[in-house]
Amino acid sequence: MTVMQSISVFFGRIRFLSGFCFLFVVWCCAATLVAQTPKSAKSKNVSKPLVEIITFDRLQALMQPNPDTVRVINFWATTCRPCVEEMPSFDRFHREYSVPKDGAKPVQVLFVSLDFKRDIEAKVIPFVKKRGITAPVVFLGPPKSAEIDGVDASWSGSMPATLIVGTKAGQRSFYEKKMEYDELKDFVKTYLFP
Amino acid sequence: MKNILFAVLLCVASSLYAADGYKVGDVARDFSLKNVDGKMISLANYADAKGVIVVFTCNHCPYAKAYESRIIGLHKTFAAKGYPVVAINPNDPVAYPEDSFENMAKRAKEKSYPFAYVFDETQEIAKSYGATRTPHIFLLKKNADKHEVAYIGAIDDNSESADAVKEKYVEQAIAALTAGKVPSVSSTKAVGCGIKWKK
Repeated sequence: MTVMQSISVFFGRIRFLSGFCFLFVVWCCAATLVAQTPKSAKSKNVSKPLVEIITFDRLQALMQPNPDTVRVINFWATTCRPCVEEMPSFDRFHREYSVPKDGAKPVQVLFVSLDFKRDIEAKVIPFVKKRGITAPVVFLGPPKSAEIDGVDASWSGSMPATLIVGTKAGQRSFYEKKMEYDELKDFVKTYLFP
Repeated sequence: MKNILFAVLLCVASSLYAADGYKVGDVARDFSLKNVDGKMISLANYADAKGVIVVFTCNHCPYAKAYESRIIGLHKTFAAKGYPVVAINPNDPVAYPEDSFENMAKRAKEKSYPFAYVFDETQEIAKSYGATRTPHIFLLKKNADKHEVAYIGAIDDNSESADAVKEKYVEQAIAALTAGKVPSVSSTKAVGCGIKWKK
C-alpha cells in the first residue's frame, strides 16, 4: 500500500470511529432522558396511588377543622348498596364546590372505604376506576370500636355515614344516614361562610 | 294513691327510655319468631340456660358473612355451658331477596347451623332491642324469669380476620358472667351493614 492509501484508510477509520462515537454519545443521551422521564401510562405509581391506604391517626388529622377548606368525609364500602347509591351526589358536590366561589370556602369531599383489606385490589380500585370517581378516595378498612367512637360518639358503626367539618373549631356535624344531593348541600351550607 | 301514680309514671318513663333500644342492664323482651325449620322460637325455649347470645345477622352482609363461622363457633363452645346462640334476621327481604326466609333456610342447611336462625318479619324485635346493623350482639343473662342485657356490640375486635383478633368481647363477657362478675367491657361498636328497614 502506498503512503497515500494508508493515510486515506487511516482517515476512513477515523471517520468511521467518529461516526460511531457520535452515535454512541447520542445513544447515551437518549438513554439518560428515557430513564428520567416518568414511566408510561401503564404504571401510574410515580406520584399518588388511586386509593391511598391511611391509618386512623391520619384520618383523625383530616377530621380536624382546616381554615382553608370545609371537608365532607364519607364512610362507605363497595358492598354497601346505599353508600354506592349516594356516591354520585357526593362526587357531583365535590366537582361543584371544591373550587372556591362567591366568597364561600371550598369544600373537599373525601371518600373513606371501610371495605376489607383483601378487597382493595379486587373491589375498591376497580370500583373507583369504573365509576370515574373524581373526589379523593382513601382506604381505612373496618374501624375498631374505639375508632368508631373517635369519629363520632353517636356513630353506631353502620354505613353510610358522613362527617362534615367546617373551617372553625366546633364546626362539626355527623350524619348516620344516606343523603340526597340537596340534603348534603343544606348540611354543608352553614359552614361555607364562616 | 300517690305511690301508684308514681309507679305508673315510672313504668311509662322506663318504657319510653327503652324506645331507642336496650342499654346494658335493661330487661330484654321475649319474642316468638319463626325458625328455619318452621317452628316458633322464644327465649322461653331456653328456660334451662344461663343466658342467650342473641345475634342480629343475615345472609347478604359481607361483615355478617365474615363472622358466620365465629357465630357457629360461639354456639358450639357456649351452648353446653349455658349460653346458646339465637340468630335473628331483621332485614326486609323485598329489598334484599338474599335475606328471604327461603334463603335463610338454605344457608342454615348448607352450613349446618347448630342454632336457631329466626326471621323478624315485622322488624319489631330489632326495633325493641335497638339493633342497628348486622352483625349486632345482645348477650342476655338469665335472672330469675327475666333476661337482662349484659353485653351489646361486636363479637370481637376484627371483622375481617378471625386470625387477627386480639379481643374476644363476647367470650370475655361470658367468662365474667360465669364467674359471677359483670363484664369489664360491656359495650362495643363495629362496622356492619345497616339494618334494611321496610319502607
